[in-house]
Amino acid sequence: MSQDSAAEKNVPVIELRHVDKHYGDLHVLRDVSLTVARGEVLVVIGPSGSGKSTLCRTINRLETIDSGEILIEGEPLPQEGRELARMRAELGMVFQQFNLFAHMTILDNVTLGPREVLGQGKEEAERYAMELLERVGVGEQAHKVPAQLSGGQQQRAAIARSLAMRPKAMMFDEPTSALDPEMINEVLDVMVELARGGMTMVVVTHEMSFARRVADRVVFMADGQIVEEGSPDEFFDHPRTQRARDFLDSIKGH
Amino acid sequence: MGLTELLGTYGQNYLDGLLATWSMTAVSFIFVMVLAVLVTVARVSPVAPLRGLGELYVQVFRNIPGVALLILIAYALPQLRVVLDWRTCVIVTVVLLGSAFGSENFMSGINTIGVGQIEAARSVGLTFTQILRHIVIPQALRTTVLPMTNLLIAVMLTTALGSQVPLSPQELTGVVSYVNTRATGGILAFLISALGYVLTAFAISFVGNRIDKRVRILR
Repeated sequence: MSQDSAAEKNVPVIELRHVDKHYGDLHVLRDVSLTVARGEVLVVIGPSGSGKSTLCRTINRLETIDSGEILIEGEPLPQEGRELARMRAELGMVFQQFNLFAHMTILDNVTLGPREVLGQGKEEAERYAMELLERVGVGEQAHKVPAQLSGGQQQRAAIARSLAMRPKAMMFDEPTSALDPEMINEVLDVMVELARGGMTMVVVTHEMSFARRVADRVVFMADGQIVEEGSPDEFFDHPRTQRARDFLDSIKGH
Repeated sequence: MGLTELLGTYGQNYLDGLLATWSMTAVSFIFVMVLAVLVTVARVSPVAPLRGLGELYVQVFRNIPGVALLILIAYALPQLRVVLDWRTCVIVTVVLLGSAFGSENFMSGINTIGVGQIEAARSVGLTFTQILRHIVIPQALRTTVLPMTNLLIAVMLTTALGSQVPLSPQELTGVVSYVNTRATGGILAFLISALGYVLTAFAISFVGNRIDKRVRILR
């Protein structure tokens, strides 16, 4: 119900208003405002230490903020407790280090959330989990434990784990940065598929070709600020700021 | 007194002693594990006073000599009108001491779980209790089989405190005092009991190693 009405009213899935955050003396997010519309793929890029990972992690409150507001479908992000857990369940999160549960099989990794949080039965949860694992190409690994999988397979399983919650949006925090080069594409391909399927996505990445190909909008961050945002073509071909030009120059040839 | 004569006369006492040691060890260890889990949950809980209480518990019972604690429980508690039978006194002592060490084992087990797994669990929408139940406690249990095996042996050895109170039947160490006040068994009377402890400890390690191999988490 709420999803329909929110969609009708064209409320952004994610909205940040004047978000500020410090780590001690370090001002990691400076007055960041951002909206992500339904079905939009937003790619966040910037040098390391620019606050882009922190930005990603504040959206489901893995990091708290000092001031400002974060709204999910127009509703403010709850503080703590059950309300927050429920909100988090609606936002998928994919981490740089995969973070699969080490003591469980891949299948159990994917079904844990649906069973515990959504109250699905074992059979229902496993059926959908297998469907997702097949879709990301690791169906045959379902009964192995994470350590038996390659990094690329683990990351794809982690994506399936997030998808199993039928999230309203997916966040990717440098999903390919910990991968060997030959495994990067298998993960990016899954993400491209998701984007084509209409998933709302926030992707923090250094994969510029992915950004160019898939992003609806690129946000460039530096020193905790959004320095520039625009369509991928605009940004990559005609960056408006010197910071962005320097950054793009520094990564050329990679 | 020679070995045959000792065993001929007091064999039954030794056997009863061994069984008493085993049963006190088993009962104590069950409570040790339950209490260790509870104390550890307190120590990682988001409630600061609860964390403090858990830390205090561990600091107190890890650092108090067993005999001192037994004397407090057996002879000081009755002043507060809490009178426990002798066997219970010994078990309570062993459980209080053992659970403090057990909780330390669990804490080191928990520290091997990456913070990333906890964040992933939170981002899936699991609550604090669900994360403990499905992620933290199972992994802490499975990574601490070997230290817990050592703890079980330590718990067994600690039940020898039972020799300081009039248990009936006596446990292995108490049997030695019993024998030596009636006959001149000397060192041999000790060796028989020692053999009971050592063989049991071997069996415990063997089983512990087997369990560890089965449940160890691949990383």
